[in-house]
Amino acid sequence: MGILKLKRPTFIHAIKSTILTTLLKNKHKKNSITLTHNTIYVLPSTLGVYFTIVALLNFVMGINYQNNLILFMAYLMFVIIIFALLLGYSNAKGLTVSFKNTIESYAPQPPQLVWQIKSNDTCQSITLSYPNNLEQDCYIESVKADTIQCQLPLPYLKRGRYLLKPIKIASNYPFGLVSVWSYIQPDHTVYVYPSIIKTPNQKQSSQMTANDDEGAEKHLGDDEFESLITHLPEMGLQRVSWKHYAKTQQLLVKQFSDFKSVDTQFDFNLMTGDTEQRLGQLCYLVCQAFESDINYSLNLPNKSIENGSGKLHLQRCLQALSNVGADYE
Amino acid sequence: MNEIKNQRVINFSLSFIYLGLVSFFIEHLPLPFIIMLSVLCGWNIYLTLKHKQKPNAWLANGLAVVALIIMLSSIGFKDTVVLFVAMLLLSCVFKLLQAKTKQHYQLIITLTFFSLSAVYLFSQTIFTTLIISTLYILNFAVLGLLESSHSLKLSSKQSAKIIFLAFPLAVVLLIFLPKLPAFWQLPGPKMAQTGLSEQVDPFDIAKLSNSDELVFRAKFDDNSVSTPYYWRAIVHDEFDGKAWKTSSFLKQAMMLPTQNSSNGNTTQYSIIAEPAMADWLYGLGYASSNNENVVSNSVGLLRKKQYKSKVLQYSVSTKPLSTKKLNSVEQRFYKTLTVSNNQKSYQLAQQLKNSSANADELFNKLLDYFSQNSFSYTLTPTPMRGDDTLDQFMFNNKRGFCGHYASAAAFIFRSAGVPARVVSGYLGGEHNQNNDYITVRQYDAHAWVEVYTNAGWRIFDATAVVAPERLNGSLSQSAALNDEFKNNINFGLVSLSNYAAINWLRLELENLDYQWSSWVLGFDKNKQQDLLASLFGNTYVWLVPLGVIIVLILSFSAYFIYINRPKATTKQPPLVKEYYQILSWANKHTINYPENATPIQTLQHISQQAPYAEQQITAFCHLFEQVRYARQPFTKERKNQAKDLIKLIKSIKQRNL
Repeated sequence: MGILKLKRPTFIHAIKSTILTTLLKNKHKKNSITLTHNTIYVLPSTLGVYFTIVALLNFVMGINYQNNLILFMAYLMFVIIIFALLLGYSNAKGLTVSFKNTIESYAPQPPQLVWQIKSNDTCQSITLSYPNNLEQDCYIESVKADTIQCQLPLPYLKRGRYLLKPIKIASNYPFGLVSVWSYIQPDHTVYVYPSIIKTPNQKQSSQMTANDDEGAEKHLGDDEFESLITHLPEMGLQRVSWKHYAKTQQLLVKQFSDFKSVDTQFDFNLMTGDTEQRLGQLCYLVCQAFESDINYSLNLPNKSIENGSGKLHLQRCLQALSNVGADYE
Repeated sequence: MNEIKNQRVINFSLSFIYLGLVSFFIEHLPLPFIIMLSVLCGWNIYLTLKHKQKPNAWLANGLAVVALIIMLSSIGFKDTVVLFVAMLLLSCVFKLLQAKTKQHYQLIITLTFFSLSAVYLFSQTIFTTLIISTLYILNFAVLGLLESSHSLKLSSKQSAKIIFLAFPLAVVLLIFLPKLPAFWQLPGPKMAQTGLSEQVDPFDIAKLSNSDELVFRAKFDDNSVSTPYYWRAIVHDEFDGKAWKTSSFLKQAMMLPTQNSSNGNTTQYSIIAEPAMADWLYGLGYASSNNENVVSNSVGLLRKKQYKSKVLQYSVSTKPLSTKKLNSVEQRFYKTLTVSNNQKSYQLAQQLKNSSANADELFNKLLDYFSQNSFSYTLTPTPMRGDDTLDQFMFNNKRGFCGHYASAAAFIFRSAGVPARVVSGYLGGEHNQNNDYITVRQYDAHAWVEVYTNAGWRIFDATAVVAPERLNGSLSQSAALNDEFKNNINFGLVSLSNYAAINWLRLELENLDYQWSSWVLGFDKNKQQDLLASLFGNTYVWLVPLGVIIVLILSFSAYFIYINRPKATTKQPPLVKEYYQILSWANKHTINYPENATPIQTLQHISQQAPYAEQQITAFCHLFEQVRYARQPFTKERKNQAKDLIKLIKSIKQRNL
């Protein structure tokens, strides 16, 4: 009675997923699901099947030896497996699983999904798992009315854009005899950004500026204080910082820089190496630009992104980088 | 998902279960094998306690090969059931020694459910059942531990709860589901044999190994049968010079079914026989039975049809021995002596024959001979060897137990030309007053002679004259042999029966065991039919399966509702409930109060709007402050006070209306 783990051929997987999608319709395509009678599926687990087989063996032994005690044990086991099915169903009922957000990642780190789980009643031994990724799942011992947050890593380690597959919400409570499960499939796309590759030298990055050969040098302006410089006669006295004069008896001028005028463009074609390396470099540059709050635009083989800055812009650029080449998995 | 949270506890509990299991097989499996299993369990417990690594695959597999050799060499292939159980135990214990993943443990636990049931093949006493049930609960708890990180205590509680709830349903199933006949015949386990044996050869036995193991119980429908009870089990008709055996001729004769002539006065009684390896059953005189599992044969003996590991209950009808007449061939057969040793005894036989006119007179003369020549009864005879053991006994030792007397007497009768045979079985039994049944134990085993005289077969029992008290009642009740008997018997309650309290306890336990055997173990198809007929009458018996299905569905629904019942919400702090009662009272009487105020402010607001209840509400305010803010204990008096105040508040309003 070894518990064999056979590798199923892919076509069986294909058939299974087709059947699943037709059967499940769109019941599970939600960002939040509360398990009820029409979204919970209950069957004996592998252990439960073995348990039933042992109960049957006991039954046969009891019948053949006309032994009431063995027979009684067999009946007891049958009743318990049915109780376990009921218990397992009641355990999962009322569980609410909500998709909160994704933690996107740079390859080869897996992205993670953040979930919020709560239950009206106590709900025990819940496992969230992603198809084909049974090793890394998210196990919760017990859920009560308080919301619990958990993170589920996805098996996506390569750069790309991925549509979420149905995520299995499963429980083997009680005794591991039954398998109670349901699915949730949030309508969401997950991006794995290119892995960051530090550009070899700063000069190369300065070549990328399209407008100005002086590269990433700051444009003088009046938006942001940059530094203090010595006063030169042609500057005029109105620019002297008198506060500093009062302190240091030196004539100093406040230098301001203007970011609006810095329009950096990162171009795929100016990078070196193969596609992945170029994307990695771009990824690094984009992140650097975000950190020093520079306006930048991105030019990719099939897409270009306008000038912009800020977190949303960064995300847009990174997602575009993830999406280069391959479209969907 | 595959890591195990409580591996130590699981390891420990499973080793404990297997130690318990092994202890039940001490009698039935060879000692080296038992020791080996215990050592393996002990080793596992040691590794667990000391946080040591489990042995690696090479070591474990090597050990497994050694263990397999020990098992096969000590058990052999003869007894398939014992071999099967041994293999099951061995594989589980070894798997446990190597188990690392969750799947391994699941496999072991599932197999343990089967191993536990296998114990019932060998023993079905109440004690066994209690222990095995406890181990079942523990096994379930371990199964639960695999899935969660609870403590063993909590897990045991949960498993006990579910088993407790499932118990009544399983009982209903056992009682009402139709008893199926055996699908196919399985070999029975060959249990250690005590008591009777196929041949009567008493002379090399120095000490009769007595055990107080139960053999059967008999319940008489009326009191028509008188003592002494000679329960016949085996007939030995062939003497080979040393031992009395059952000849192959007789074995063939016993295959013939008996002619069921139902004339003459028959006696009815029923017997509950404990499971035993041997196929013989017990009856008085010429017994026959209509039970489907019992074969009655032409010698008046009863035999089991097939092995059953359960108590067999059958009813017997008995005719006196003397009714059976022998033809001349049969008479000659029972006179045959093929050996010519024991000349002294032979000559004694000739003397007695010459001095008596017929077989009946010879019968009496031989009895007299035994009573007058200072023979004595003992359970510890001197072993005798050589070709003339009968002569040694008759003329030198003169001390022996039933086997000696029966062997010698049968030989003398045959030498004198009188048809005779040795019969072994049980004599007497202990009468239990409460339920009016007789208990026969292994120490009641007996052998005697049946002699064919003019009046037909007669029982010749020399023990009757040597130790007359042996005839009535059980050996345990016979005073003269009591001391010798008690020295002989293994430690047990019987050996302490001199103390009144212990004797009372023994008889009560005995009674309980009788009910257990009769109702639980002996609940078979016939009993089931009787029960169903008495409950529902014969006409509606067909409704029973339907009823079982309905009961099952109802029970499962009830269970479902039970587990989904609204759980008690977390316990409210004191006085909160009462506070809400006042608020709802205020709502009812359309008294407005601010939404976001402290309880005290709200109460004050209410009391201002309802001046007629001001006093009570203020009192409640005080109470609330004392209990909730001043940390005064919420005693029973305060609780009652709060209740009274609420009542008062409600009644005041009514009076004002």
